[in-house]
Amino acid sequence: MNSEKELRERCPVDNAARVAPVIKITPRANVWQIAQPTKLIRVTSLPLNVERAQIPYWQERGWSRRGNEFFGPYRVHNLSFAGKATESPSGDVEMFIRDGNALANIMAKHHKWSCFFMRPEGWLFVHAFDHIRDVSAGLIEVEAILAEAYETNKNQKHTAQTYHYDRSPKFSFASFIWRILG
Amino acid sequence: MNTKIIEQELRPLMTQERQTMALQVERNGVMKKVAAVIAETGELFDLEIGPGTTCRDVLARMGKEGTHIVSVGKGADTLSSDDNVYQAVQDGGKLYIATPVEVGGD
Repeated sequence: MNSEKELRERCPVDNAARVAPVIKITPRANVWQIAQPTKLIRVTSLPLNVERAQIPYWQERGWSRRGNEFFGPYRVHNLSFAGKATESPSGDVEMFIRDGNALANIMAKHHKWSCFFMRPEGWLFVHAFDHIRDVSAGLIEVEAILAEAYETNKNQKHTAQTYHYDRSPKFSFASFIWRILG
Repeated sequence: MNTKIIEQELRPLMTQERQTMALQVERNGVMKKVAAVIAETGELFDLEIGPGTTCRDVLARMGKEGTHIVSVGKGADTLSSDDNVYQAVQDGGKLYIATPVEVGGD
Protein backbone atom coordinates (compact mmCIF):
# COMPACT_ATOMS: atom_id res chain seq x y z
CA MET A 1 0.00 0.00 0.00
CA ASN A 2 1.50 3.18 -1.08
CA SER A 3 -0.16 5.53 1.12
CA GLU A 4 0.14 9.19 0.54
CA LYS A 5 2.40 9.48 3.59
CA GLU A 6 4.89 6.89 2.30
CA LEU A 7 4.99 8.50 -1.10
CA ARG A 8 5.85 11.82 0.46
CA GLU A 9 8.69 10.23 2.45
CA ARG A 10 10.18 8.35 -0.45
CA CYS A 11 9.84 10.98 -3.09
CA PRO A 12 9.89 14.36 -1.44
CA VAL A 13 8.46 16.96 -3.78
CA ASP A 14 10.04 20.32 -4.14
CA ASN A 15 7.87 23.23 -3.14
CA ALA A 16 8.25 24.74 -6.58
CA ALA A 17 7.09 21.57 -8.21
CA ARG A 18 4.01 21.41 -6.16
CA VAL A 19 0.95 22.15 -8.17
CA ALA A 20 -1.29 24.73 -6.77
CA PRO A 21 -4.78 23.63 -6.25
CA VAL A 22 -6.85 24.41 -9.30
CA ILE A 23 -9.64 26.75 -8.82
CA LYS A 24 -12.19 26.18 -11.43
CA ILE A 25 -14.08 29.17 -12.60
CA THR A 26 -17.10 28.21 -14.48
CA PRO A 27 -19.31 30.69 -16.20
CA ARG A 28 -22.39 31.49 -14.28
CA ALA A 29 -25.66 30.22 -15.36
CA ASN A 30 -27.62 32.71 -17.37
CA VAL A 31 -29.52 34.97 -15.06
CA TRP A 32 -32.37 36.90 -16.59
CA GLN A 33 -31.92 40.51 -15.90
CA ILE A 34 -34.94 42.01 -14.29
CA ALA A 35 -35.89 45.15 -16.02
CA GLN A 36 -35.31 48.08 -13.76
CA PRO A 37 -37.92 50.73 -13.67
CA THR A 38 -36.93 53.26 -16.23
CA LYS A 39 -35.72 56.46 -14.84
CA LEU A 40 -37.30 59.67 -16.02
CA ILE A 41 -34.61 61.52 -17.80
CA ARG A 42 -35.26 65.10 -18.68
CA VAL A 43 -33.92 65.70 -22.11
CA THR A 44 -32.85 69.23 -21.92
CA SER A 45 -32.72 71.38 -24.93
CA LEU A 46 -32.15 75.00 -25.48
CA PRO A 47 -35.11 77.02 -24.22
CA LEU A 48 -37.36 78.09 -27.02
CA ASN A 49 -38.15 81.68 -26.50
CA VAL A 50 -41.53 82.62 -27.81
CA GLU A 51 -41.80 86.24 -28.59
CA ARG A 52 -45.03 87.88 -27.54
CA ALA A 53 -46.81 89.48 -30.41
CA GLN A 54 -47.04 93.19 -29.91
CA ILE A 55 -50.13 93.82 -31.96
CA PRO A 56 -53.01 96.20 -31.41
CA TYR A 57 -56.18 94.90 -29.81
CA TRP A 58 -58.21 95.00 -33.04
CA GLN A 59 -55.67 92.75 -34.74
CA GLU A 60 -55.62 90.41 -31.74
CA ARG A 61 -59.40 90.04 -32.06
CA GLY A 62 -59.11 88.96 -35.67
CA TRP A 63 -59.84 92.24 -37.41
CA SER A 64 -58.10 93.29 -40.58
CA ARG A 65 -57.43 96.62 -42.20
CA ARG A 66 -58.16 97.73 -45.75
CA GLY A 67 -57.16 101.31 -46.29
CA ASN A 68 -58.98 103.40 -43.75
CA GLU A 69 -61.53 100.67 -43.04
CA PHE A 70 -61.31 97.86 -40.53
CA PHE A 71 -63.34 94.67 -40.74
CA GLY A 72 -63.81 91.87 -38.26
CA PRO A 73 -66.17 90.22 -35.82
CA TYR A 74 -67.39 91.39 -32.45
CA ARG A 75 -67.05 88.20 -30.45
CA VAL A 76 -68.96 87.86 -27.21
CA HIS A 77 -69.34 84.52 -25.44
CA ASN A 78 -70.44 82.17 -28.22
CA LEU A 79 -71.87 84.93 -30.40
CA SER A 80 -70.23 86.72 -33.26
CA PHE A 81 -71.44 89.83 -35.07
CA ALA A 82 -69.86 91.25 -38.18
CA GLY A 83 -68.28 94.61 -37.55
CA LYS A 84 -66.73 97.48 -39.40
CA ALA A 85 -64.84 100.60 -38.40
CA THR A 86 -63.80 103.57 -40.44
CA GLU A 87 -61.04 105.98 -39.64
CA SER A 88 -61.28 109.51 -40.93
CA PRO A 89 -58.16 111.44 -41.96
CA SER A 90 -58.49 113.47 -38.76
CA GLY A 91 -58.16 110.25 -36.76
CA ASP A 92 -61.76 109.95 -35.59
CA VAL A 93 -63.17 106.47 -35.69
CA GLU A 94 -66.73 105.35 -36.40
CA MET A 95 -67.87 101.92 -35.32
CA PHE A 96 -70.49 99.85 -37.17
CA ILE A 97 -72.15 96.54 -36.53
CA ARG A 98 -74.10 94.36 -38.95
CA ASP A 99 -77.83 94.46 -38.29
CA GLY A 100 -79.59 91.16 -37.77
CA ASN A 101 -82.15 89.27 -35.76
CA ALA A 102 -79.56 87.83 -33.39
CA LEU A 103 -78.32 91.31 -32.54
CA ALA A 104 -81.85 92.68 -32.13
CA ASN A 105 -82.74 89.77 -29.86
CA ILE A 106 -79.99 90.44 -27.36
CA MET A 107 -79.93 94.24 -27.63
CA ALA A 108 -83.65 95.00 -27.74
CA LYS A 109 -83.96 95.51 -23.99
CA HIS A 110 -80.58 97.13 -23.47
CA HIS A 111 -80.58 100.83 -22.60
CA LYS A 112 -77.97 101.56 -25.27
CA TRP A 113 -79.87 99.95 -28.12
CA SER A 114 -81.15 103.42 -29.03
CA CYS A 115 -77.55 104.45 -29.75
CA PHE A 116 -77.35 102.05 -32.67
CA PHE A 117 -78.53 103.88 -35.79
CA MET A 118 -79.52 102.33 -39.09
CA ARG A 119 -77.19 103.00 -41.99
CA PRO A 120 -77.23 101.80 -45.61
CA GLU A 121 -76.17 98.31 -46.61
CA GLY A 122 -77.40 96.71 -43.40
CA TRP A 123 -74.98 98.39 -41.01
CA LEU A 124 -75.81 99.98 -37.70
CA PHE A 125 -73.77 102.98 -36.63
CA VAL A 126 -72.70 102.96 -32.99
CA HIS A 127 -73.04 106.48 -31.72
CA ALA A 128 -70.45 107.56 -29.20
CA PHE A 129 -70.69 110.41 -26.74
CA ASP A 130 -67.26 111.68 -27.70
CA HIS A 131 -64.77 111.07 -30.48
CA ILE A 132 -63.42 107.55 -30.65
CA ARG A 133 -59.68 107.96 -30.98
CA ASP A 134 -58.73 104.46 -32.02
CA VAL A 135 -60.39 101.30 -33.28
CA SER A 136 -59.21 99.18 -30.35
CA ALA A 137 -60.92 101.44 -27.81
CA GLY A 138 -64.15 101.37 -29.81
CA LEU A 139 -63.97 97.62 -30.15
CA ILE A 140 -63.44 97.13 -26.40
CA GLU A 141 -66.46 99.33 -25.65
CA VAL A 142 -68.83 97.73 -28.17
CA GLU A 143 -67.81 94.24 -27.03
CA ALA A 144 -68.48 95.23 -23.43
CA ILE A 145 -71.96 96.52 -24.34
CA LEU A 146 -72.79 93.35 -26.26
CA ALA A 147 -71.56 91.18 -23.39
CA GLU A 148 -73.62 93.16 -20.91
CA ALA A 149 -76.71 92.85 -23.12
CA TYR A 150 -76.13 89.14 -23.51
CA GLU A 151 -75.82 88.63 -19.74
CA THR A 152 -78.91 90.76 -19.02
CA ASN A 153 -80.91 88.86 -21.61
CA LYS A 154 -79.81 85.53 -20.18
CA ASN A 155 -80.65 86.57 -16.61
CA GLN A 156 -84.08 87.88 -17.64
CA LYS A 157 -84.88 84.59 -19.33
CA HIS A 158 -83.78 82.75 -16.22
CA THR A 159 -85.89 85.02 -13.98
CA ALA A 160 -88.94 84.53 -16.21
CA GLN A 161 -88.52 80.77 -16.00
CA THR A 162 -88.14 80.91 -12.22
CA TYR A 163 -91.21 83.13 -11.91
CA HIS A 164 -93.22 80.75 -14.05
CA TYR A 165 -92.10 77.89 -11.84
CA ASP A 166 -93.08 79.75 -8.67
CA ARG A 167 -96.54 80.45 -10.06
CA SER A 168 -97.27 76.77 -10.41
CA PRO A 169 -99.79 75.50 -7.85
CA LYS A 170 -98.28 73.93 -4.78
CA PHE A 171 -99.88 71.03 -2.98
CA SER A 172 -98.48 70.06 0.34
CA PHE A 173 -99.74 68.48 3.51
CA ALA A 174 -99.49 71.81 5.35
CA SER A 175 -101.62 73.61 2.78
CA PHE A 176 -104.15 70.79 2.89
CA ILE A 177 -104.48 71.07 6.69
CA TRP A 178 -104.66 74.84 6.45
CA ARG A 179 -107.53 74.60 4.00
CA ILE A 180 -109.46 72.20 6.23
CA LEU A 181 -108.97 74.32 9.31
CA GLY A 182 -109.64 77.51 7.43
CA MET B 1 -54.04 100.75 32.41
CA ASN B 2 -55.42 98.69 29.56
CA THR B 3 -54.68 101.45 27.09
CA LYS B 4 -51.14 101.60 28.36
CA ILE B 5 -50.70 97.88 27.84
CA ILE B 6 -52.06 98.11 24.32
CA GLU B 7 -49.86 101.04 23.44
CA GLN B 8 -46.69 99.66 24.94
CA GLU B 9 -46.89 95.95 24.39
CA LEU B 10 -49.52 95.01 21.84
CA ARG B 11 -49.04 97.69 19.22
CA PRO B 12 -45.38 96.93 18.54
CA LEU B 13 -46.30 93.25 18.43
CA MET B 14 -49.07 93.86 15.88
CA THR B 15 -46.76 95.87 13.70
CA GLN B 16 -44.23 93.09 13.79
CA GLU B 17 -46.92 90.55 12.98
CA ARG B 18 -48.10 92.59 10.05
CA GLN B 19 -44.56 92.90 8.83
CA THR B 20 -44.15 89.14 9.03
CA MET B 21 -47.39 88.67 7.13
CA ALA B 22 -46.21 91.06 4.44
CA LEU B 23 -42.99 89.10 4.15
CA GLN B 24 -44.90 85.83 3.90
CA VAL B 25 -47.10 87.28 1.19
CA GLU B 26 -44.03 88.31 -0.72
CA ARG B 27 -42.34 84.91 -0.30
CA ASN B 28 -45.43 82.91 -1.19
CA GLY B 29 -45.68 84.67 -4.47
CA VAL B 30 -48.99 86.43 -4.02
CA MET B 31 -47.82 89.09 -6.42
CA LYS B 32 -49.34 88.65 -9.86
CA LYS B 33 -47.39 89.10 -13.03
CA VAL B 34 -49.48 90.63 -15.76
CA ALA B 35 -48.86 92.11 -19.15
CA ALA B 36 -50.25 95.56 -19.78
CA VAL B 37 -50.89 96.18 -23.45
CA ILE B 38 -51.50 99.54 -25.02
CA ALA B 39 -54.58 98.54 -27.03
CA GLU B 40 -53.92 101.08 -29.75
CA THR B 41 -50.38 100.06 -30.59
CA GLY B 42 -49.88 96.67 -28.97
CA GLU B 43 -46.91 97.87 -26.94
CA LEU B 44 -46.30 95.56 -23.98
CA PHE B 45 -45.31 96.30 -20.42
CA ASP B 46 -44.67 93.69 -17.76
CA LEU B 47 -46.22 94.57 -14.43
CA GLU B 48 -46.10 92.95 -11.03
CA ILE B 49 -49.10 93.84 -8.93
CA GLY B 50 -49.95 93.12 -5.32
CA PRO B 51 -53.35 92.69 -3.67
CA GLY B 52 -55.39 95.85 -3.70
CA THR B 53 -53.75 97.46 -6.71
CA THR B 54 -56.21 99.81 -8.37
CA CYS B 55 -56.50 100.95 -11.98
CA ARG B 56 -55.33 104.36 -10.89
CA ASP B 57 -52.09 102.84 -9.59
CA VAL B 58 -51.50 101.02 -12.86
CA LEU B 59 -52.25 104.03 -15.03
CA ALA B 60 -50.14 106.32 -12.86
CA ARG B 61 -47.22 103.89 -13.10
CA MET B 62 -47.54 103.91 -16.87
CA GLY B 63 -48.02 107.63 -17.14
CA LYS B 64 -51.53 107.27 -18.62
CA GLU B 65 -53.63 108.56 -15.76
CA GLY B 66 -56.57 110.67 -16.88
CA THR B 67 -56.19 109.85 -20.56
CA HIS B 68 -56.66 106.09 -20.61
CA ILE B 69 -58.76 103.40 -18.97
CA VAL B 70 -58.04 99.79 -18.05
CA SER B 71 -59.94 96.82 -19.42
CA VAL B 72 -59.54 93.09 -19.32
CA GLY B 73 -60.95 93.04 -22.85
CA LYS B 74 -62.95 90.36 -24.65
CA GLY B 75 -66.32 91.69 -23.57
CA ALA B 76 -65.39 92.51 -19.99
CA ASP B 77 -66.49 95.85 -18.63
CA THR B 78 -63.91 98.58 -18.48
CA LEU B 79 -62.64 99.08 -14.96
CA SER B 80 -63.10 102.34 -13.14
CA SER B 81 -60.13 104.05 -11.57
CA ASP B 82 -60.95 102.71 -8.09
CA ASP B 83 -61.51 99.13 -9.19
CA ASN B 84 -59.22 96.45 -7.90
CA VAL B 85 -57.11 95.26 -10.80
CA TYR B 86 -55.63 92.44 -8.74
CA GLN B 87 -59.04 90.76 -8.46
CA ALA B 88 -59.97 91.44 -12.07
CA VAL B 89 -56.98 89.83 -13.73
CA GLN B 90 -55.43 86.39 -13.39
CA ASP B 91 -51.76 85.76 -12.85
CA GLY B 92 -50.16 85.85 -16.29
CA GLY B 93 -53.16 87.62 -17.78
CA LYS B 94 -53.41 90.69 -19.92
CA LEU B 95 -54.67 94.16 -19.22
CA TYR B 96 -55.57 96.51 -22.01
CA ILE B 97 -54.89 100.19 -21.66
CA ALA B 98 -57.19 102.06 -24.01
CA THR B 99 -58.61 105.51 -24.55
CA PRO B 100 -62.05 105.93 -22.97
CA VAL B 101 -65.11 105.53 -25.18
CA GLU B 102 -68.68 106.07 -24.10
CA VAL B 103 -71.44 104.90 -26.36
CA GLY B 104 -74.58 107.06 -26.28
CA GLY B 105 -75.16 110.68 -25.43
CA ASP B 106 -76.40 113.42 -27.73
